[in-house]
Amino acid sequence: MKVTVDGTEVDLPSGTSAIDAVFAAGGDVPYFCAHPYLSPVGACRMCLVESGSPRKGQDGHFELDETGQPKIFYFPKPMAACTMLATEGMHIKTAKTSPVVAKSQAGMMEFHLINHPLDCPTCDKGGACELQDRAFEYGYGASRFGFDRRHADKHYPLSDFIILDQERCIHCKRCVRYFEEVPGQEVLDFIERGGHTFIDTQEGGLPTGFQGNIADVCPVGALLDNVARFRGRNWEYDHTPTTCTLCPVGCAITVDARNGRLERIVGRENREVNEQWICDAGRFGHVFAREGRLTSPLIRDGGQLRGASWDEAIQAMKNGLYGTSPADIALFINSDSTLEEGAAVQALAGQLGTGHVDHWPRYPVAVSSTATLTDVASADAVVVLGADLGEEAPVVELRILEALRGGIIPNEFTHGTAIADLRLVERPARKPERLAVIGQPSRLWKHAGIRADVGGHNPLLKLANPDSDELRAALTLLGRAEKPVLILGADVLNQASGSFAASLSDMAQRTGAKFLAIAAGANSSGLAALKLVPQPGQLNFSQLPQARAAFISRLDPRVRAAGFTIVHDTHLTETAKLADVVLPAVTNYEKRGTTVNLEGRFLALQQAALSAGDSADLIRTLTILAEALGVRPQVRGLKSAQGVLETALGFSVQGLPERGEIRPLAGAAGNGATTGQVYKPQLWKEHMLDKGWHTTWAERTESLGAGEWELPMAAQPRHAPGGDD
Amino acid sequence: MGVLEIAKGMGVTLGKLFQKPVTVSYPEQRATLQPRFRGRHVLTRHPGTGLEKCIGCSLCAAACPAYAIYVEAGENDPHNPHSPGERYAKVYEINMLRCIFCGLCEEACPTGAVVLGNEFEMADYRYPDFVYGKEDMLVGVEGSRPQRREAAAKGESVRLGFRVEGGPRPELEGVTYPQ
Repeated sequence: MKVTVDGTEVDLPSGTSAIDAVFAAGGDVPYFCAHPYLSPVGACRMCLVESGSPRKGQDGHFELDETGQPKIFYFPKPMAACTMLATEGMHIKTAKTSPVVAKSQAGMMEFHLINHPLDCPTCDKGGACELQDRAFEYGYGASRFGFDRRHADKHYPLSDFIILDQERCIHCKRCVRYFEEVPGQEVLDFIERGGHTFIDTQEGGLPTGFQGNIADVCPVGALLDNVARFRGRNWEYDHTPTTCTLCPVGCAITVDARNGRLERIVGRENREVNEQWICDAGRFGHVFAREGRLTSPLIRDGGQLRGASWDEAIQAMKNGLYGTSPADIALFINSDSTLEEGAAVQALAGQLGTGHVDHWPRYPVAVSSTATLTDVASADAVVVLGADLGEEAPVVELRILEALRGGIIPNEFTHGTAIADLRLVERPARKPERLAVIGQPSRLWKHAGIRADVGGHNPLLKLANPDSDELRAALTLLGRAEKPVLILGADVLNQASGSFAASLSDMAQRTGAKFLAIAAGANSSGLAALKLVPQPGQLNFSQLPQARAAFISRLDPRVRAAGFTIVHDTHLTETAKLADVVLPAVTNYEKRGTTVNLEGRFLALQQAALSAGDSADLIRTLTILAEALGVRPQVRGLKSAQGVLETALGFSVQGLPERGEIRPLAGAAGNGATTGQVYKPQLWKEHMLDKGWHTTWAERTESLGAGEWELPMAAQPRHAPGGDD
Repeated sequence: MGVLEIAKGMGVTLGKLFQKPVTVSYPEQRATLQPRFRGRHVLTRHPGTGLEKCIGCSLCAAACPAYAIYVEAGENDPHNPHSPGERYAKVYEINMLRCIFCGLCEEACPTGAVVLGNEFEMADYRYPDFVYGKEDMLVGVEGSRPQRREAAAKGESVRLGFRVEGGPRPELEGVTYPQ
């Protein structure tokens, strides 16, 4: 399909919207309401273009103009490009070539700014605001509307996390569409009409889970991140694109730091993993990276832990480990550690000759998923077995809901994801019959057409040998579907016994389904591939109290080893309080490395500019442990860790593409070992909660209801207003 | 060069010899400054309400070519606000050693909160003493840090070593300098 934009002809697939045609041709139109992963509705009227098509006459041939070219019949008025389909031979004129378009866009901008307050200096969106940028690029620079602006509620907390400023809203409806279309929650809506329209909820708060994304989609400063409120201006942050490691999905995030403090996390696009959305825990649960950090080693001196230098810590480790055989030292790490750190542990364990190596959390089996998240989103049948996705991998829930509304993944162009994919429609028809949930009741329950509560039984075995109508229906659903996907959660993987692999492959063969196993930790699949599990006869993590000496990295079992205990952690945890030596660790926001998500996708971590005193990452800490043991470590830094990794995996993890890459993890599936304990996934951990949240805002909103605390705009001015209006 | 030229030059010298001297014996005498002289910053307040004009927007820090300004914003307590609106500057610091007194911060300020005053006597001993906070710059604080320290030690009031011809600029709301 050939489309001409401002005289440039571009070849595009049919079904492309006019706005994407413009961007594909290298042009630009302003837009506020269109969003790549939401339905185009044409609410803001900013993307106006002049457009026209050739017309066929009664003889079946194109009507020609005087030069012999097909005559273009333009629409009488400018059209919204985001809701218009580009057609063969269409001509589009943007503001670059059409004064009519430039005038109408500037006029629309003037309308948008009638009621928009001039509080950009105090607005957290300032500097990253679409309205600001577009008003600068396309506006008149002055307004002819001299009357008073509308006044509405300012800084009114919708929840602990989101703060609403109704004056700033330009009614693009992105937040309303987001809630309806993506997590399938009808909470926000427009109230009243015309110039009185405002956004609000009647639900008394926003549903937890995915509410933070509305702060990302809002093109103005109406919906803002309350956790990062007034922490810094957008140009002051150091933006670091990295990967979230709270759950095994591995969402793309941007970490914003200022003055060495983590202040904000926003979602980043990765079409194949999280599209654009991240969960609330990933976005708001970062207070631990800033507060209560250990900044120097602690050593036990006269029964009490006291601050010390690294040299003193090395000496303390030397003294404490004297007489202990290196082969008795247990090395236990958190399974959100990077692959490079895993390689360092593996190399050091090899040098020490210890087999007491484990990562936690993990399941007794390591399963290599055959389905990708894109497969989940485009599946025609999804069966969730024993998973509480809200706790295990929240974004998988969004991808399942995407499959239920038709599995339409927006097209990709050279300018990125389609800005307006016309296949996406507002209030989409959902197909709950495509989803079966088997296991304990969870948040996904209400979206599922088939629900089966199997109590404490293994959902996979129950599905293989159905004894109820629901289970039989789920099996029929799988059998009939062309692209079915099985999702395996904690209840299946915790109970995996020796016959698990056989029953899983049997089920996959019977139904032709691909399966996605939700790993326990962010990098469990990667660390399992590195064989960081105890061999038979060696200690696993639950047997820590039996270890003669132990090094524990960022784990909090609340017990210590029988012998000398070294804890490497970011905070003084309960375990650290029991330890002999505590070494300060860095969070995953401050690491460079590679992680493997639940699909087997290799994703890069980048180091955000956070200051954490003398803290050291695991690789560096292990070299120090080796020094205390008098061993010259094989891995001494990131580069040598990557070298070891290349030998272990057979390929290099350097230079990964931005959206990661799925690579086969040879032998990962075989690396299971008993865990000795059951892992219960929990998304929000204690240290991720800010103590202030449920007091200040909750108290404020309560006292608001009681009439104690007035909203400033509703209040009578106590002071004469000063400064600008 | 002839005798005539020498006589002309000596004539000028002789003429000046009997004029009143222009040298000011600073610091015993006050130096005379023009109102537009750019000296130490003043954070002004709204007249009447007494609220700080600064809203902590950080635009002065963005405009500063010497990266001398650091602002951290906070949220106003509605019952006891520091400034009108929701936002105020919790921390407002200017490093007077880095500052080049160009006045771009004053131009960038949307509320007219930061204004360059006329004080210039800021010589001090230690580096950290040159980082001026809100308590050093809010209107009503007279004198620089070393001047106030010395005055406190002696139990006297601060004596500014200058006077401003015609008084301070109108932008310096509430500031008084010796005239």
